[in-house]
Amino acid sequence: MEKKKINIRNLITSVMFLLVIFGLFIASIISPDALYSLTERRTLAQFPELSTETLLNGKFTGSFEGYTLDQFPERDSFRKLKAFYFMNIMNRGQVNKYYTVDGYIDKLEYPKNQAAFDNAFAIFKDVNDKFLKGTDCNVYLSLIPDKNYFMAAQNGYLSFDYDEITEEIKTNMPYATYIDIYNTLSLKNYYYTDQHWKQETLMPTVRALLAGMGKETNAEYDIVKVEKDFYGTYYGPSTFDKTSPDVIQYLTNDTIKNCKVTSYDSGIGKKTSVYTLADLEGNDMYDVYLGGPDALIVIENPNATTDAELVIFRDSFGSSISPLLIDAYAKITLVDFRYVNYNALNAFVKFENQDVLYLFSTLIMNNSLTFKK
Amino acid sequence: MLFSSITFLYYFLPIVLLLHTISPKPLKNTVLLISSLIFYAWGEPRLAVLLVISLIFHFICGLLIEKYKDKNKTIAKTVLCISALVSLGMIGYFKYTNFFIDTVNSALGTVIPLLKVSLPIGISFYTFQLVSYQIDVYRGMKAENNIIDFCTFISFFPQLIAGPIVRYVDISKELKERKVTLAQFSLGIRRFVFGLAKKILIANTLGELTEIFRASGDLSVLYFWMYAIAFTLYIYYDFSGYSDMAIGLSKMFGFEFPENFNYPYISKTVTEFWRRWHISLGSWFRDYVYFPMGGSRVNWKRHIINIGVVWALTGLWHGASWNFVLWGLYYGVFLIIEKFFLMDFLKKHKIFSHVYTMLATVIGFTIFNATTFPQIAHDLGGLIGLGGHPLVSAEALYYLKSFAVPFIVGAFFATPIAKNAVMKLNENKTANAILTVVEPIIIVAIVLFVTGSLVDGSFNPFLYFRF
Repeated sequence: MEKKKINIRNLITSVMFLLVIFGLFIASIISPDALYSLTERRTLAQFPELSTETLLNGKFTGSFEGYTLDQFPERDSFRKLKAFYFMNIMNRGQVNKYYTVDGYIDKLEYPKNQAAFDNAFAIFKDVNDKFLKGTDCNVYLSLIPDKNYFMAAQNGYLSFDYDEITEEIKTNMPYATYIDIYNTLSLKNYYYTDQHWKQETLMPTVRALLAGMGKETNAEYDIVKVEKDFYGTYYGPSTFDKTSPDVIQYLTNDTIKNCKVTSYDSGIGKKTSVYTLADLEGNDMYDVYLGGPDALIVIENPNATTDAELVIFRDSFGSSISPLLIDAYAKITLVDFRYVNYNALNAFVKFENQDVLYLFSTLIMNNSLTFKK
Repeated sequence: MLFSSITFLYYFLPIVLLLHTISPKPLKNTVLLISSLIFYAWGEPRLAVLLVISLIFHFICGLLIEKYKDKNKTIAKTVLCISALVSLGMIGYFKYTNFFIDTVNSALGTVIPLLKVSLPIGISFYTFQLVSYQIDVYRGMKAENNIIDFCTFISFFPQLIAGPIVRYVDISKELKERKVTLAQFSLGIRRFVFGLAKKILIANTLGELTEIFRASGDLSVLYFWMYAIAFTLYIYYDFSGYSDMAIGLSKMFGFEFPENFNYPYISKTVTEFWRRWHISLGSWFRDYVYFPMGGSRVNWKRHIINIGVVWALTGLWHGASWNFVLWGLYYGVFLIIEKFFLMDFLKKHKIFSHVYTMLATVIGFTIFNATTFPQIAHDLGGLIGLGGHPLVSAEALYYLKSFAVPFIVGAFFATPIAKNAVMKLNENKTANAILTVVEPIIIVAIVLFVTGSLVDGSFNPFLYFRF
């Protein structure tokens, strides 16, 4: 009787194993190849070119594995299995550096890349020395804390010393007046599934920035809610199951609607708008704010009651907050050092007496080696 | 191609299993041979030609050795020497030329340019198989006269690129006649799947900590020990996992490969450790280097030299670098000390001897994983608090917590406790009945978790591939 039971176990084991490998083999063959992953927001590898040359030079075989990974049946479900294993069985607390607290997904940004910070300081100083020194520009700086500031240390994860970073920035940028916005923000200002902040929650931050620059705003806005679910940049890679999608909302009023927006990518100006609604159908819905982080964007406010101008050296966080600053200015110029070589700045901006604001997140400061030189 | 890849699990393996099952007996080895060459060529299309030429050459040498070993020993010996020289020459050229050039440059201050050669994957394993085959034929073993069977023996994909170093005598019967029983097939599945789990679910997790450590700027004595222990566990699960997969796959096709690991981390002496770790390599060096040099049947001075030579070569086999030679000699010293002084004491003090062996192993693998002598000094120094590092650091404490479960799981399954428990449960009717349902579910669950890790992961080769 015992021998028969062992045979039954052998039979069940063999059958189940073969069902899995043959089943998924057949499913891999017959399921049509997908072009794009909505959750990962990227195009998926397609069947590699098959020829004698690609076989002999290893190109086909090298690419085939990537193809099988990208086109595996129920890929998202399997990736969630991995997340389950690492979070619940191995108790790692993170999967591929992503972790979740109370439905918020974040990516561990650790350790501090001192070389990146030093690089940023060097570039900012160079910009100041070359273009701002000797002008009547008022130079300001503000640091946007990333979500880790609100989530990491509090939940036992490794974290920057944000106080130390703030002091370091103030010390290394003595030519700029620091505007503290930390106390205007909390985790609730950020999306669950994305690293960015939510525009509809930013008015206290806007007022703090403007107050720091000697300006103010009393503008009122209508909030427009986008009906489509927003899956931010962290949703796909993290594969956590229990997080709800976000909702994109944008603030608008007559001033914003009447703004003239010009985006300069590769030096060619293109008319656009404060909110590019077509981007709500694209890869990253957050690009609805000013069409995403283009190299240079100019917002002109025909309703302005001042001729004050603002230049913001910024990252993608600047895209959503800038429309809320325009009420206090006639013109805002946004410059993204990741796409513009700062040495060519004076080809686009004549620095005379503008307010100049360095507005960067701790994420970008820790990755500033992507700044163009 | 890797066992732990979607290409292998869900394309290559089902196709080869199917073809092997439906092909008539006379063609089964041909199916395995062609599959194995495709397996090898998948990663090394051009070097697969080198493998084929090598196989044909050594097949002919084997037949010549057999033909002349009784008729004309000189010819047989000459052919044996030529075939050994060719085998060792190949591994020497691909693996050790740049090591030699580098050593000369360092010693003499010359600037001889390095050659642009890439190490053919598996060469350290299959050249040893070829050498052992020729020597065994010279010693009286019957040579294989079927070229398909011979080529299948060497190139059989489960063991081609990372062992175990299978000898011809291990599988000669099965090459001619084998029947895959349900029991063997299912045992093979279990072995293969548990090997997958070891590699993907345990080894890769611990390997991640070793990479995090290397990139860290917040080192501490605790962190060094975490790194050393993580690497010790990582290399065990990586390599033994691969061996399990190889042995499991061989069973699925009707072969019985020799065991390559036998819970080495329960060893109470370094001598015992090397009887349990990479068994096929240890026995190869014993049978083809140590014993022919006289082994222990010589005076004590010569005995020490024999041990030293074998362990220097063992270290060198692992890598073309002086730190590997140092690593090999490190173990050689332990073996000499145990053999001549410590063995009786260690046998009487089991707890001490286990702690001593594990310490020696952890330190040994710390040396193993360093790439330069300064790094060896840095890593070993860090373990004892040199280098100005604090006792603990925030990062070390975080990762100690984050990797606590992998450490515990790694330590637990490195012992035979689970295996013995399952064996005991099998003896109980009720437990057996439960396991009849539970075990297949666990097997499938592991395959699915492994698949999830692969689909979400990236390239994850075996550590021993660099050998």
